[in-house]
Amino acid sequence: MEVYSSCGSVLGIKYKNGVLLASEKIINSGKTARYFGIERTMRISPTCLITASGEYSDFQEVTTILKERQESDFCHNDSHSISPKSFHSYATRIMFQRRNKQKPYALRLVVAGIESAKPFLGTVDVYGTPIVDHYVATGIGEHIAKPILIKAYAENQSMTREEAEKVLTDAMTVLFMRDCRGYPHLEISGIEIDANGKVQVLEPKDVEINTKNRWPSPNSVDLPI
Amino acid sequence: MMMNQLVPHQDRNKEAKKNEWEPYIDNAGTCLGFTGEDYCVIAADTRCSNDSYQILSRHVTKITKVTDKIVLATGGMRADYCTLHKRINYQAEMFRYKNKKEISLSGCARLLSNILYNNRFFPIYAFCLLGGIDEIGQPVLYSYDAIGSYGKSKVGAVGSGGELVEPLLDSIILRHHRQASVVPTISNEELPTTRGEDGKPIIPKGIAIEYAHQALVAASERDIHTGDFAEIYVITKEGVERHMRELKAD
Repeated sequence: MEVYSSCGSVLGIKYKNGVLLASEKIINSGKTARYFGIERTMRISPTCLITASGEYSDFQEVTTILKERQESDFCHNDSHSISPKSFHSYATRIMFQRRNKQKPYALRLVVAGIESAKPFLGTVDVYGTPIVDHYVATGIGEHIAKPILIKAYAENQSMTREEAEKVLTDAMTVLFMRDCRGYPHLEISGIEIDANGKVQVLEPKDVEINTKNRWPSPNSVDLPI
Repeated sequence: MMMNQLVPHQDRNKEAKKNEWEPYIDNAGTCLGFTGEDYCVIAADTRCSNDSYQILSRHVTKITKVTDKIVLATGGMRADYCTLHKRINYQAEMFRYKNKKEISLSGCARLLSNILYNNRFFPIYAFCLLGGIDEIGQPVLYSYDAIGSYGKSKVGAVGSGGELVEPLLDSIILRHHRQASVVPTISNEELPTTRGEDGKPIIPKGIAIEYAHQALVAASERDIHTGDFAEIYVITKEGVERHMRELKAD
């Protein structure tokens, strides 16, 4: 399974009334940092977000399939919408069927949303294994960043959005330090439900990890946008 | 591509096979089941691992309740067994709509075997234990292999800790390899006091749940892929009860 345009790790964590996702705004081509400024979180429906690490073209394909499904459901106009849990289940079916054909999508998908007024966060891996959990880390983040998320969630299960953002930024900083394919420009996106029950997809926030004066070399290359 | 041209043509197929993607992965974990006088116990841990010493999640369920009298536990590959559980639940629901009654345990057992055998040449990597109460009110446990061969058994254990748990259940539940008159030397073991026709003790339901928990505790001590939480289902004529117990998280 060869990957040509790979995306880095994605981190996700549930907080008190929503879910936050963090990812690096870059697509790598092997060891080359190829495309910059790529927003990797797609909004499938008013209550569901999807992101992935792995092959970017496969991610675009899965997003197209899920968006088509959402569109046809929207056209039914029956005041019923597909919940994020259903999208997670549908994504699992897609990945599992591709695995059965021995032509897997090289992805670790992350599905986030608001399900019955509560935050929902789930992943699907390349075999079609569905995991629903309170925190998610894909790729090398599973080794490096996931323990940070687990500890933060164990200490405070109902974080505010700002606390969750800080946890994700800290974890992504650690990842940037240790992942060869890491990049300091992040996108933090999320979805939350307010006290009135209104679900709101948050505007993707650009975060830059501070790399100035972090390493002792006097000559540092200014990173492109 | 260039490397392929350096490989002699008679070895090209072998080279291609080395890089072929394997569609199977073992998510490990342990499931066990046994029957008593009037109940059937099905238990499993809740850990999902990777091939490479990694824990994917500590809270996955390997057990599904098919009807009020049938419970299915599966070990093996999570992608395969989640799909299998969906298919069995779907078939049980369709049976209920078409026939206005619940599917029987023996019918469900045969159905599961057929589903597994249909994939004889691309096996579903799922090792099942199907337990419950059959039509005459007797508790029955069926154990399966990956391609659908099944049979009634009094005890069964599958998964990464299956080989560790099965002899333990043989000793404690079936009391095999023991003489009925031998007094156990562990003084604080809660020995059931009533004995059945064969001279072996009858295990009441409350103690059976503790035995299932202890078996998983023993498995989690010796098997790295077993641990976190134990989910224990007890099926009786009255219905299905679910208990959660803790296991070591290391």
